[in-house]
Parts: sequence; structure tokens; C-alpha cells
Amino acid sequence: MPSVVIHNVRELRERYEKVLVVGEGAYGRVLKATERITKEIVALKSIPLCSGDKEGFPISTIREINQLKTFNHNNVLSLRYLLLVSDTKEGWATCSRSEAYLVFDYVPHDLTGIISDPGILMNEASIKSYMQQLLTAVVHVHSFGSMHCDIKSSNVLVKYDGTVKLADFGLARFKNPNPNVTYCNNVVTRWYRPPELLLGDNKYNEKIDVWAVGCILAEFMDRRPIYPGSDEKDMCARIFSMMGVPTNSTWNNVEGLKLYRVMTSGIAKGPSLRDHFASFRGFVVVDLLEALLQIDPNKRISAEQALRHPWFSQAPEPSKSALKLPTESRNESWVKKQFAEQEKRRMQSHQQQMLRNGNRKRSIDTLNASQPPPKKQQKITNTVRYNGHTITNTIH
Amino acid sequence: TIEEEKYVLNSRIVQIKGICDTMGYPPHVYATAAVFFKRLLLIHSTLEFDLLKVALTCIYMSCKVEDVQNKLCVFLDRIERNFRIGVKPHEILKMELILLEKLQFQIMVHHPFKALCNFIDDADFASSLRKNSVGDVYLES
Repeated sequence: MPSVVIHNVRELRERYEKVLVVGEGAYGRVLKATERITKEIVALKSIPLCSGDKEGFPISTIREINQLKTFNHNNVLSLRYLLLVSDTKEGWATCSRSEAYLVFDYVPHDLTGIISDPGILMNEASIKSYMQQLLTAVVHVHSFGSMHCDIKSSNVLVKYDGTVKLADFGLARFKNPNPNVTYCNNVVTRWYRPPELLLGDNKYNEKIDVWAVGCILAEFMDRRPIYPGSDEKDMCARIFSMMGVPTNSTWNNVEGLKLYRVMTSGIAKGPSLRDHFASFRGFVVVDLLEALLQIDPNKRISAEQALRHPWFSQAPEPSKSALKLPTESRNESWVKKQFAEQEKRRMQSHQQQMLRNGNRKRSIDTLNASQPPPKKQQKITNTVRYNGHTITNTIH
Repeated sequence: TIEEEKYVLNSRIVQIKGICDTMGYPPHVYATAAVFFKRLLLIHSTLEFDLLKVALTCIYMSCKVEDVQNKLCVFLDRIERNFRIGVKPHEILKMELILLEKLQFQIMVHHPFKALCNFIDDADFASSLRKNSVGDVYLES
């Protein structure tokens, strides 16, 4: 894979025509751009090189490049080029606006967008195909002794023809052969974080990715995230109320984990996973889901075993093209825009209602005050949901 | 001449090894740093860069690649204390980008250590098996 060095911003502009900013995160921005010569649409992930911490080229980017160069798989988004852009002619000035760009193929959709678009009707064949492709990608990644550490629906991109591309290896890392090595606990976006991480384990393994895949499958079935916790404690409450609080007898040495006492106190028993998906009763898919969302990582199946699950060989056959995808992109930023618009509309109607209420007598207002309007309640859940999407992980 | 260049190179690599050992880094950090250094000087003459800076940058980058926690200022502090070499952080940062560019981001280095270590582990395991089985056979006969 070639890397291209461009010595000033003008050259970059000559090469690529910027179309729009697709996403923004802790690392920098993702731009959609057209390559002028080949007319291909690419995604540019920009990494500023003049960050304040004076550590030079970010280590997370070094890891990402290493990971991406290792993988070569149809379902993993591959790196095309690397660009280094400096705005001084004579070389690299340390505190100039130097940037590195990772150039990827542009993939229009992601699963967040597809799942939250009410206009797209899901069918089992396509879900099966997406899950199968996602799992093959995960198996490929794991086969190199690597962990993705940030699987979530917005990092699973989908092409127009239904090909799934696993993206964003910014947190991914190779597993150390030494079993006593500890890893950073603060990985994986909160809603997809498995119980072992929530309980403060720092000797986790690649099963954390399997949990996240399970969360995505549940998201497909429900059309909303299964554990949209507002913080770590809430996440634990949601998971354990569904699965039961783990003890040493159900999960070896779980009570020795750092946050076990804090996280497992005061959890009420809620409906179990099977009750939650009661409408899918008798379907094989619930078996798979249960195996993926097993709270004990040692009992959780591996991605490879998941791929051999009978659900994938059952009718209907997995089919990439069973789902008609819209030509407009349905991705995370689209979802955010939709939320923002909904929010605006809701605020406006709320304001109008307030105005109308204000014209009435005060006594009615005080009567109403004891019962907050249901709209407000809705608003709160929505912002929580919105926040969940914007959470970006701190990279260590 | 080529001989002289070779001599300079080797002495620098020995220096890299010395620094890595004093800093207490694991051996693959030294190995990766040495590979970076050699790769850069494959395409460039020894006269083009300040080789000391290049060597330090190689070590610093190799720490990043091999997942060894290392803060730049702490690293340079220790270098200064142990070797009386004063290098400013921005010089290293500048060199780092040049190094990355020249290496074309080929920063994944596969060392034979890993395979060798695994092989020794396996061999240990196998030999212990064999010892036991040989012992068994010996006992039986």
C-alpha cells in the first residue's frame, strides 16, 4: 500500500474535492471527498499531528495502521493510501497544521442508519447475511490474534450492494501472548460494552467483540439498542436485571473483579432475555443471541462457533441483496440529523403548548405541574439515546 | 566509502542496543528500533541526517509500535541523565515524521523472536512429554 506525501494543503485540494464532513470524533474528522483524477469517492479520516500533548505521531494511529495493514478481507474496510500533509514547504514544522489522512473507500450506509430508518423494512435473509458477513470479518480479525475493541452498529458499514465492511480500528490492538498482560479497561462504546469490562476487568480477551456482535443482533431484532445505559452503573443494572447477577458459582472468580461490589448492588430482577424477545419465541435466532450475550466470557461462544450456528444454514438463506437500500446514505450522522430535527419540532410544539397554557388560568397550570407532560419524558429518553451515539472513547 | 558507512552504521546500532538496555526495554524494542534504523539508511546516506537523533527517534517510535509506555519528555530526560545527550523534543517529533515518511509507514516488524519463543515453549513441552514417555518406556522394559 503506497503512502503519499503532500507538502502543502493546496496540493491536497488539487487531488481531492471535498464534498462534506461525514463524522467527527475524538481522533479528528472524517471527510467525504472525490478523487479528481479517478472520480472515485473516498473517505478521508484526518488525524491532526499538532495535538497539545507533545507525543508526536499518535500511538492509536500507529496501531490502527498496523492493524489495517495486517488484514486483507472483503468484509474489513481496507486502507488505500496514507497522506501526510504539511503546510510548510521545507519540511515538517512541529506545530504547524500538519495532518495525516487515512484514505478509505467511501461506504454510504452504516447499521445505525439502516436500523433506525423506519422506511427500510428488515427481512430475515438480509439480517442473516449482514450478521454472517460481520462474523466472518470478526473471525478474520481474531485469527490474527487481534481485538477490534470498538464494534458497534455505527462502525459496521454497508455498501449499496449489501456488502458489510467493518471499520474503525482506532482502538484495536494485538493480543499479547503473555496472559498476565493487562489492557486498558476503557474501551468499547458504552452500549456495547460487555459485563467483564463494566466490572473493571483488565485482562479481557477477544470475547468482548462477540458481546458487541450480540448487541448488534439484538438491535436488528428490536430495531433499537438492547442496553442503552446512561452510565456504567445503569448498563450493569440493565444487563444483570435481564441475565441475573453473576456469582462465583455461575462465573468463575467474578466476585474478585474490581467493581463487582459497586456494580451489582441493588439490582431488581427484570424480564429475562427470552421474555424480552417473546415475539421471537421458538426461533433459532434467540439461541444464537443467548450464546452471544452470555455474561461469562468463558462460556460465551467464539465468533467462529457463532458462524457455525444452525441459524445460518436454516431457511431463508442469507442474501445480500434482499434489502433494497436507499441511494441516499443512511449513517450515523443522518440519524443524528433526524434526531436534531425531531427535537426541534418537539421543542416548537412544546413551546406553542406552553404559550397556550400560559393564556389559561394559573390554577390549571399548578394542577398540571404535578404531572409532567409525557412529551418531556420522551425528550429525556431521546437525548440519552442521542448521547449514546456521540460517546467516543478516550484512547490510551 | 561503503566500509566506513558500514562501520558507522554498526556502531550506531550498538549504541541503540546500549541505550535500550540501560532504559530497561524488552528486546523487541531494540530489535524494531534497529530495523527502522537500517531501513532508513538503506535509502539514505549516513551523511544526510544527524544519526544520533535518528537513533533516538527510532527507539522512541519502536516503543510506540511495540506498546511500551513511554512519554517523550521522560524518555529524553532519562537519556540526558544517563548519556549526557541533550536533544529537544521538537527535534525528535520532526524526525519522527520524516522517519515515518521514509519508511512509507511500513512500521510493522515481524521478529523471529516470537516464533522462536513459541518454538522453545513447544519444544520444552514436547521434551517434557518425551522424557516422561521415555521414562515410562524405560520403566516398562
